[in-house]
Parts: sequence; structure tokens; C-alpha cells
Amino acid sequence: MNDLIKIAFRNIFRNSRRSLITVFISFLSVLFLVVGSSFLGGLFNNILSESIRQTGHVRITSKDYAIKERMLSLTGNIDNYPEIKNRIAKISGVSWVTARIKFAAVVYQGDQSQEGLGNGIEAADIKNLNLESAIYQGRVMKPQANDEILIGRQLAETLGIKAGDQVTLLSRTIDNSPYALKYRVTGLFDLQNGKLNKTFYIPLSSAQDLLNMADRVTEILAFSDSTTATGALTASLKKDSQLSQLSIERWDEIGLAPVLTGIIKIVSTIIQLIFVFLAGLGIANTMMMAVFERKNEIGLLKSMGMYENEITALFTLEGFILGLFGTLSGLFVGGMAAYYLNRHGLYLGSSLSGLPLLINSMIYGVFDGGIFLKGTILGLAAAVLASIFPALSGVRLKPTEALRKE
Amino acid sequence: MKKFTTIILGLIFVCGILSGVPIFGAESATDILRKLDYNQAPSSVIYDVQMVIHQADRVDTKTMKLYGEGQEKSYALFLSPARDKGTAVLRLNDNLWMYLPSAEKTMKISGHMLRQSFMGSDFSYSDSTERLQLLDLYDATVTGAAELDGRNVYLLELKAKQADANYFTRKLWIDQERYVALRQEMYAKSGKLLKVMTTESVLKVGDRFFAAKVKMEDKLKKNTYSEMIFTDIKLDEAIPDSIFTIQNLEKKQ
Repeated sequence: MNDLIKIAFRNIFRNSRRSLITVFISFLSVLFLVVGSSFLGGLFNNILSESIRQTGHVRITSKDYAIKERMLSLTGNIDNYPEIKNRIAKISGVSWVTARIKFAAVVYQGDQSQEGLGNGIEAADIKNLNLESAIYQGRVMKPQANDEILIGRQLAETLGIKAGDQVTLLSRTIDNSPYALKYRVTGLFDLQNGKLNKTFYIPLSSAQDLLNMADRVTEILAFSDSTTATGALTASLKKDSQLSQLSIERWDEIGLAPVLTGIIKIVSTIIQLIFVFLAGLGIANTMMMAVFERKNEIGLLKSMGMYENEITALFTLEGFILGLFGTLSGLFVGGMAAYYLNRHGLYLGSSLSGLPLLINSMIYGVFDGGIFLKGTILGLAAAVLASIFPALSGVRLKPTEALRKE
Repeated sequence: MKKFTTIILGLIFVCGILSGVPIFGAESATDILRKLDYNQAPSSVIYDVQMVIHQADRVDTKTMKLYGEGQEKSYALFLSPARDKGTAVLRLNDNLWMYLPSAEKTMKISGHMLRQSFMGSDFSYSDSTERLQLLDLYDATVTGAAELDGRNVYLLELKAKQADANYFTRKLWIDQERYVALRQEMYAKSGKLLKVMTTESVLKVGDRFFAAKVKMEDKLKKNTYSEMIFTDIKLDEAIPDSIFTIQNLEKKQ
């Protein structure tokens, strides 16, 4: 075996330029594979975490909320919500619960006005929604201060709102009457998402006052400790007799989440296959040329008594060594890029703002053993598989045919 | 000759019906509508209104004072419930302003709001704040006569002269004696039934018959209807111009 390795190394350096090109193709493929896996993994995690922030692991609403949700009708609501919220909090698997009201309102700043999506939220939800870290002007609202409001960047820029300004919210109450209240803008936030940046947040109690919805909310969100426990949590909630008259939905059953996560998985697999194919094609091409160039040599080796499987092993070993160099360098550079992506993220700007997605424009890549393992296995597998077939075609020649001079 | 006379008389009858000309003593659609307009569109109105809104198992009652002049000039001030007290609405032609005391702010409401629900009721802002001369806006045809709740009525079909009318077609059941619409069906241009209004009580105020209690059902909503009960009705009285101003709208009540 040692002799085979020595011969393989010597053969690699017989045409160093070609070997270098092969290593480079393998390097590029593994590099893109690692960076691509890191980015797509980050994108998937981003959608997953943003969706769960907005919907909880499980969302509990009234049965007719799903029909009326798009119109932001308040009539599909949960009455006597504190009791139901407490009941949900006691169910096994629930780590915490929060309640919200989603509503439409017109925001008035002086003579300017703009329609926006409002959220009445509880104190614990401020942290869940990352609002504190998203504030770029002013401060986060105090949950008990009923006249405080947080406004998204896009809405604020449209109306020229600054922290400290006073705005008026005009909405329709649960009985469809117009009602308005004044608010002090304590902070402006940027959630790196065009859709979310058109929204605003007020304390839940204030939303209940504005909308005449005492003791009522539009949704209750249950969170578990891990996403994998969502199924068990949903089953526990559905078993509760008092909750049976409500609609209980997993996060990945709401809106576009199921479609999106499915699409990302498919796209991710396709991209990985493309890079493996390219790596394989590059190495196969090199090995094919090597086999044809060394046809006479194969014939000589066979006539000297070398077995076919030994010759196949020699070529495969050459491919493997080239693939190994390419894979290691690809893992090194790709790993550095993935580390950067993980630490600093990639800002996609407004390119995502037009999409109806709950996604943060700042994508932080995944940096874990998985992306390196995937790069190593796929990089080497492509190299070995791409070497075997040219090698097999070469060794099938009879020594007399292989030795014939053309 | 007898056959010819019958055909001629038949043609005259059909043409008469189509043109709104009275046939053998019956009133034309134009005459009926003119008398209806006289009753429901006085030069000015002042009244107290109790608006009772029924939504599924919930009943809300709101009261207001309304001043109206001409067809599209109105000022309404809400007196109850406490949450709506002081809310005021000013309508000047197609412009609508609303003063909401909870925010101490007057808001100009966009024109399309005129077709929206008035304070959560089945009436729209237009239904509540205008007194239209139907004759100016619609072409009318008498489609027959019938009896409704023990009263003889004319059946009229109205088709809007302008495509942007609030209701493209209306079917009216008009009291033959008092010229009040006892029932109205309002349709969209597509033919979809939008609303049904019924008059439950009629009062004589001066020389006009006035619908003192009306019920409106918005057919696009489920399990809702609203009633308006008018009291302290004053018709054709002079109203100062200062009533129909934004300054008055914002005046602390």
C-alpha cells in the first residue's frame, strides 16, 4: 500500500499544472459547499426563529380567526384571555405564554397619516421580539405606560417621526366604531425586515383600551424550550378539553412557513449536488486524461503482473489525494468565510423587503461541525467516485492493446 | 278595426309605463318619486337619533344630535355612550371630518369612508348624513303595486344615472297614501343585494310624512342589523352656518 501511495504522489507531480487545476476545482467546490451550507442553514434558521418569534411554537386563536386574520377583524378573538393563558401555562411542555392583539390603524403625525399594522404586546414579548436590541433611536417602551409606542423604521420615515414625537392612532373598535388615542413615541426600531418595519407596538392593555377589547386578545402564543418539542406541545394543548373550542396551530402550519422551509431544503440540496457534481466533473476530467495519457504505462504494469484492482486503486488514490488537497484547502478558506458569516452576518438590504416573508435581512451563517463534515464527505466522495470510473475504463484494456503505439 | 284599436291601446299602455307617463289615472314614477323626495329631503333637519346596533348577541345603543341642510351638509354630535360622547362628524359634500375627543383631534376621513359603516352600525356615513333627491340621481320605473304590512304600495325600480352612485339600483315599496318608502332594497352594479332598509314608524311633521324609525340590514354582514329612532324632529328650520364648521366640530361639548 505504501508503494501505491508513493507511486500515486509521484504521478500527481508528473503533470503538476493539471493536478493544480484539479485541486483548484475541488477547492472551489468545497469552498462553495461550505459557504453555501453555512448561508442556507443560516437562512433556514432565520426564517424558523423569526416565524417562531411572531407565532410562538404553537398559536392559539379563536376558530374563525384564521378566516378573518387577513382582514385584521377583531371579532375573531379570545374572550377572558387571562384564564385561558394561565391554563395554557400549566400544560406540560409550555415554557412560557404571551398574548397579543393584532390590529389595523392609521397613524397620524401632524397632517400626515399612514396605515400600519399594530401589535398590542405584553412585557415578556418585548424581549422575545428582540425589540430592545432593534431600537435605533430612543428607548424601548415601558409595558405599563399606556401612552407609549414603538414605531418601525419604514413607518417612521414615511411620516417623519422621531423619538419623543406625539402621534395619534385611529382605529376601529371591536364594534367597528372609530376611536383614537394619543401616544408618545419612545423609540424607533429596525427589525431588518421591510414588513415588520411598517408595524408598531403598544402595550397590550393600551391596545385593549383603544379597541374596546377588555379581557380579549386575538392570539395567545405558547413557547416550548425547543423547536423539536413543537409536536408534543401541540398534542398536549389539543388534549385539553377547554381549549378544544379554539384553533391550535403549530408555527410551521401558519402562513408561508411550511412552503418556505420546504423550498429552502430543496434548494439547499440542489445547490450542494451542483457543487459535488462540478467537483466530480473536474476530477473525472483530469483522471480521464491521465488514464489516456498513461495507456502504455497501464499496459506495461499489467504485463509486469500488476493486478487490475491494484491499478484501479492507484488511479483512485491519485484522485483521492488531489481531492484531499482541494477539500482541505476548501474547508480552510470556506471555514474562514463561514466563520465571518457567522460572526458578522450578510446584510441583504431591501432585497427581501418586498417579499411576504418573516425574515431578517441580516443573515448569520451557520458555523458548526455539520458544514465541515458535509464538505469533507462530499468533497472526498466526489473525488473518489470521479476517479474510479476513468480508472476502470483504463484497466479493462488488454496489455497488448494498451502497449500498442499509435 | 277592433283588433287594430286593441293593439294601439296596448302599445300606448306599454309606452306609458316605460316613459313614466300616468296611465288611466295611475301616478307616474316621476310623480311618485317627487312626492317621496319632498317627504324625505326637506331643506333642513334637526333631530335626536337613537341608534341601536344589533351584532349577534350584542346590542349597543348610541345617541346623537344631527343637523342637516340641503342634500350633503350634516353635523352629528354623539351624546352617548360615554366612550363616544363628544365624538362629532361633519359632512360637507364629499368631505368628511371626524373629531375624536379621546385624542382631541380632528381627522379628515378619505372619501371612500362615506360608504363605510357609520359608528359600527349597518348604516354607512352616506346613509346617515345625506338626504338625497332621488329624482336627480335615478331613472325610475313603476313595476307594479302590492300590499305591504296592510298598506297599499307602489313598487318602483330605480337605476342610477351615474355609475358612481352609492347604490346602482334600488327597489322601493312606497306607501301610496303617505309617499314614504316602507321598504328599500339597495343593489350594487353587479346586482348583488347590499342593504335592506325598512320603515317601522312614520310621523307627520308639518305637511311631510317622516320615517321616524328605520331598520337597516347590511346584507354583506352576518347576524347584524341597526335601527335609527328619530325624536324631537324639526324640519325646514333655519340652521346657522356656524354649525357646519370645523371650529364647531372641535368645540368642547
